[in-house]
Amino acid sequence: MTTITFSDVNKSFGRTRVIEHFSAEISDREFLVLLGPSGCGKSTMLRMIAGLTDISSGEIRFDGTRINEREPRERNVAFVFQSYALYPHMTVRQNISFPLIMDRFSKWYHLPILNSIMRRLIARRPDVREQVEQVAKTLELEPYLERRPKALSGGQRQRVALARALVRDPVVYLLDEPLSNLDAKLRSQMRAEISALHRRVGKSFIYVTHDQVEAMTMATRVVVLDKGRIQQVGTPAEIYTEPANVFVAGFIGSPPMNLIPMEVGAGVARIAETGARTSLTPPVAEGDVLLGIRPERLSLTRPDEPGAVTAYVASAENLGGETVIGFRFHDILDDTVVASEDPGGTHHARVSGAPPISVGDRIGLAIPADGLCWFDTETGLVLKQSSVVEA
Amino acid sequence: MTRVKRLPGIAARALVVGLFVIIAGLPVYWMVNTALSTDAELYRTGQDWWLHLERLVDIPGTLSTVPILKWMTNSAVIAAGTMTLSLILSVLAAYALSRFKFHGKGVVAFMLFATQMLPEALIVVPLFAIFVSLGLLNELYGLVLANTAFTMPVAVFILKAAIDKIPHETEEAARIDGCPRSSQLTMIILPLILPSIAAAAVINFFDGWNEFLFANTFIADAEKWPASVGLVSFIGQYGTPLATVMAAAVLFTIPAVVFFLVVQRQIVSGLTAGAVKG
Repeated sequence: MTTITFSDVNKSFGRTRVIEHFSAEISDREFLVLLGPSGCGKSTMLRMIAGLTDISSGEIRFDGTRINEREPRERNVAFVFQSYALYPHMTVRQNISFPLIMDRFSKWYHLPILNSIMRRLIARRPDVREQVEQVAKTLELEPYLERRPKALSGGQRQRVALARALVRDPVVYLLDEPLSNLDAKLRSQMRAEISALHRRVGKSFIYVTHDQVEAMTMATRVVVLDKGRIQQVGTPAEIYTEPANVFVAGFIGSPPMNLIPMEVGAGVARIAETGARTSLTPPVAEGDVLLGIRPERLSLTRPDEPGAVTAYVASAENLGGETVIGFRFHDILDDTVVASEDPGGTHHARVSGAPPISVGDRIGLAIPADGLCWFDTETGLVLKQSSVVEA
Repeated sequence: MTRVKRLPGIAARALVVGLFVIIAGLPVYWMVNTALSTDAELYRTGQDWWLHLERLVDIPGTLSTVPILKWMTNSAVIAAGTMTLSLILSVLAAYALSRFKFHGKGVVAFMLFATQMLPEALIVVPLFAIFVSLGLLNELYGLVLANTAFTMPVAVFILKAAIDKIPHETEEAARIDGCPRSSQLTMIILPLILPSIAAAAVINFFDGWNEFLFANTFIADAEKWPASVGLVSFIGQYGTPLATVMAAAVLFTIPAVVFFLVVQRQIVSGLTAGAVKG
């Protein structure tokens, strides 16, 4: 049972601030995903937990004990690297047994030459062999135990990296984009395997990724990071339906949440681009706001339907069971609107089936009253969420 | 048909390779040939092109007059000593230069490079003064120290380049697994750079084995001469027994060739290991 607490953790490389005021708590058996675009500081955060990177200021505590100055070994964490970081000159068995052997090394075993002899001797001990074989069995690596990493496929290498982490009994498992080097099919398979491992092991996992699918499917809680700052902490469902700001709204979801500029006057919301009046209830009486709406919340209607907004089809991607319609509020075939002056850009609607539409068609879109988010145009922060009422 | 078409290409390649083999092999052949000739043959015009293999049995007799084996032992001590000391020091230096950030790192790298810019002959005199004051004259280990100073920088550059190629994550994984830095070097890094160590070993060994200038200057005792100096001692004021010199030279090259063949396998396996990612 280990709780990890971050208190105002900061990290700078020279003048560049990578992590700013990171405070969070990770409870036991949690599957926490650090999600964010490249360069947002999520890997740095993970390395700070492991002790591979120093903390500039702030504190990390394991069960209340400050561990800032502790060596990685003393923190008792397991780390799975993006590049797997297997030892290329060792067989799979030697790779997996390495942490176990190091656990059993006395200080003087580390003398040159003696260390190689002791490594071989300890590797032969029945308890070490048994533990290695047990983990290898769990991850279906038994046939490859005597192979070198060079002779394994990407997925198998990934498994060896996981096995090396699992063979110990660490307080927390740290995984740094472990699936990013795998192909799409293997990735979805390994996603399921890692989730299953998490349930079986019963320990906390901290998982870094820029892939929102991994975050949404595996996490019990997600921390969305951007430019070194926490944007939102919540369950995958909360992050999806109730984004705290426009960054989270635009980052999560594929296609992401539509952010439509609105003008509010006398309590009436109009689409800024066309001035079209809507029947929505804005959270402010006057001013500019952004309306956030998930593509699947929009539904296709006739253009002249009461309450519907008029739009023009910019693209239509049939994905089989559903269609993603790209739309704009002005006529895309209208030459008087120059693309570079296009104020609104393309928004998206996700509808089921394959509606008979083509690019340039005039359509109507029904915006539901619930499941909407309103954001401040200036700050980008959420103003109000009207929670989804499931039918 | 395709075979016939490819024939000119194959022939041209064989010709070029054959030419290189002849260029490289002729001096060696001539050395062996000279060793198997008599002085009378050598001093008249028109030395035979073929080998007088029947004279092989005479070689031990020819060499029995000189302490060639003693000299070769000295050469081996100097070469092995230079290689060992240089490798130990250069592995540590290369690791530090590759993995640590410290003030003056660039200066250290430049100083190592600078040692290669000076010809040995230039520093023989000051080095002689140092040897006198430290009592290193006439000592084989003195030569080991002097040779190491000259050969180590090359080994450092080779090994640093090899260590640079190892991803940091490999050592970080070892750190997390509980491996201290000393063992990261000996258990993780060293096995991975073995081919480069072999290459550096070859260079250092041959530097020590072939070294002449320092040995000739700092060793006065004929008993402690390495073979390189011993061979030169044959050159007399009135005559040089060429056949004896060449017979000794053949003997002198054998251990070096054997050493190279043993180590070469490591170097080649290292070259192919890098071809596969991971």
